[in-house]
Amino acid sequence: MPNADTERLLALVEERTGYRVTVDTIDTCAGDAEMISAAADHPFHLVRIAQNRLAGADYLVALQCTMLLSMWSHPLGIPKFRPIANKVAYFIKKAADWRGLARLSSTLREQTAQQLVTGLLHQLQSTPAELIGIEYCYRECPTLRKLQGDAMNVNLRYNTQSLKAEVKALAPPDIYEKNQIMCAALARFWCDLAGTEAAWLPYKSIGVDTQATELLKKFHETTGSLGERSTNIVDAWADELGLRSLYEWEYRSK
Amino acid sequence: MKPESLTFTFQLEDFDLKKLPIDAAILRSNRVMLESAVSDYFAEQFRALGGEAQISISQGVVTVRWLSEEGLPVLVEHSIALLQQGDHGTAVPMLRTALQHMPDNPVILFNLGMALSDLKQLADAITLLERLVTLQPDHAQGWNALGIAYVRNNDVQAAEQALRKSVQLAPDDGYSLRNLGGLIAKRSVKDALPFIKRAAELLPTDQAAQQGYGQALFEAGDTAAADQVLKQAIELNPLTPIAELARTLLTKIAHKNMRGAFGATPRMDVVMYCLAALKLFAESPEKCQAITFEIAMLGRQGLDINKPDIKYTLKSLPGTFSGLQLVSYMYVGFKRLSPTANISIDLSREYQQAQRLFEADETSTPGIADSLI
Repeated sequence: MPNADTERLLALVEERTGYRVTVDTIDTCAGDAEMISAAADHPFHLVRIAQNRLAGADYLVALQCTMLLSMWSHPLGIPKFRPIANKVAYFIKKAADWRGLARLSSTLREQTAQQLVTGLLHQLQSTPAELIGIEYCYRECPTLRKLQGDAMNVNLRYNTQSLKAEVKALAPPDIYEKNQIMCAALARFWCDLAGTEAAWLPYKSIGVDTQATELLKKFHETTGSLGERSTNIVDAWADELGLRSLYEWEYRSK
Repeated sequence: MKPESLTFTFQLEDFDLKKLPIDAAILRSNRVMLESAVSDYFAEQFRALGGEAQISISQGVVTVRWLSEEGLPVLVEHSIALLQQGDHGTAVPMLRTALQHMPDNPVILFNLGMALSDLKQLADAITLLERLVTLQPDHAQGWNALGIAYVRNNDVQAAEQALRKSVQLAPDDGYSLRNLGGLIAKRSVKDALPFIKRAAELLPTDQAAQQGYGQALFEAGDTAAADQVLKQAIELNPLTPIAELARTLLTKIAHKNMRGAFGATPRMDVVMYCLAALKLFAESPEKCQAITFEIAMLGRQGLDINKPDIKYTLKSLPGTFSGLQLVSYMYVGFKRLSPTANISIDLSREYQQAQRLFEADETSTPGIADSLI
């Protein structure tokens, strides 16, 4: 039987948004799962779990449900993070000039710079919503704790891959540092919630602990509905990291 | 009660780094971080047990000295809980230490034996489980675990004997029946089916037992019964690798049934459904994605394409539809949206014929397709 807490969240999403959640699997995906919020051309929310992460599917579905609840609770509509093309292009150009990328061909250099910048913006957009979801699931879904712990271990471990020397040498220092600060914020957040310390060790050693703690302070200070909190935290983090000019919010009607 | 002191040692190199939230390469390149993270891990493990734990790491050996009033029973209980969570790497050294103190304890022999069997340390596992059934010849679960260890060790004859002994001792134990049935099925599905069926009856919420029964029915040629059992297996939990196996098998059954007497000849009802879909998507291309995806999602729960009397509804398209009609629409939709997508059912012959009709503008009114439902 699917987990009772997961079932409850699936029902809650349908009740709050008017659309049911359809859960599917996907052969390959960048992370654990993909989620598409319902709209006129697809009258259902779609959550797709990576085939290789099916063991933790109950938690991953619950987490995606909390993100849907968050998105649909914003009073202005469903928020959409929209990068501002010309400003992002400038940021990418600046990144492409970094000497760490100089050994690449010009095409590859630009592609890599673009990936790094869009990845950073995606991280900025998604991490606060993820933290809200993690906290919500931890408090409201006690039967998913074990699966949550396993999923967090996988995610945190994946994040630390970017601490490898070759990654650090390649990425522009500005982007690299912002990325690590947000990774560290996630790690510290989980350590505080679960009462462990291991995930924090790598970040303490590279000296981003103060800035990560500052991001978490802003996370805890933000109030409002889940949706408002999510966008407000993104903005607060963007201010802190110097990324606020690169995007704007659009709101789609529900 | 006087606190009891127990000491465990673990080889650091045997520690499964995947238990830690830090990349293995990063840990290997930083010994201090590795030792801190491993210490933190064990501190967390023993915190849950109460008492006092001192953890030290020296020359690649992790030593945990645990002082507790609760003693061995709590440790064994905790180890079993760890095994249930899949944490064999931590549980096994604890159980080994416990076994040194209580070498004939059946709980320890059983759990340590099973854990070692899971870890493919089969010689040790078999030794412990054989000792268990020697000490307790009526230990049905012990015989079952021993049978599994023999299977893994490719000793089919000993495995069957052990599993039969387990079933003889506990004829209503679904797991023993399932394992025995699974083993016999390798040589004869017909002989295995009674065991597998009984296991499925005794374990109605065990997805593996239900899927195994469905597969056995399929292999025995009873596709109608297999279809029903496999659908029930999926309903137990649609998001598991076992559910995926059941879906694959269901698609095979549906395809086999749909082709039935038609063989290689295209089914004209499917041709007409495909033609109707081609027209619909040509007239209203914006509907293609919504309809196709909705049918695909509905299909995850199981669309019956061989029972035209069962009707389905969609949010994205008014009306009621048979399963075969929806699958035809989905097939056409995916051919438009993603021509190289792997669509689990092969309607290529019908689709090609429908395309020819569509291109030749040999129009069939929607009524023709509807009348064939």
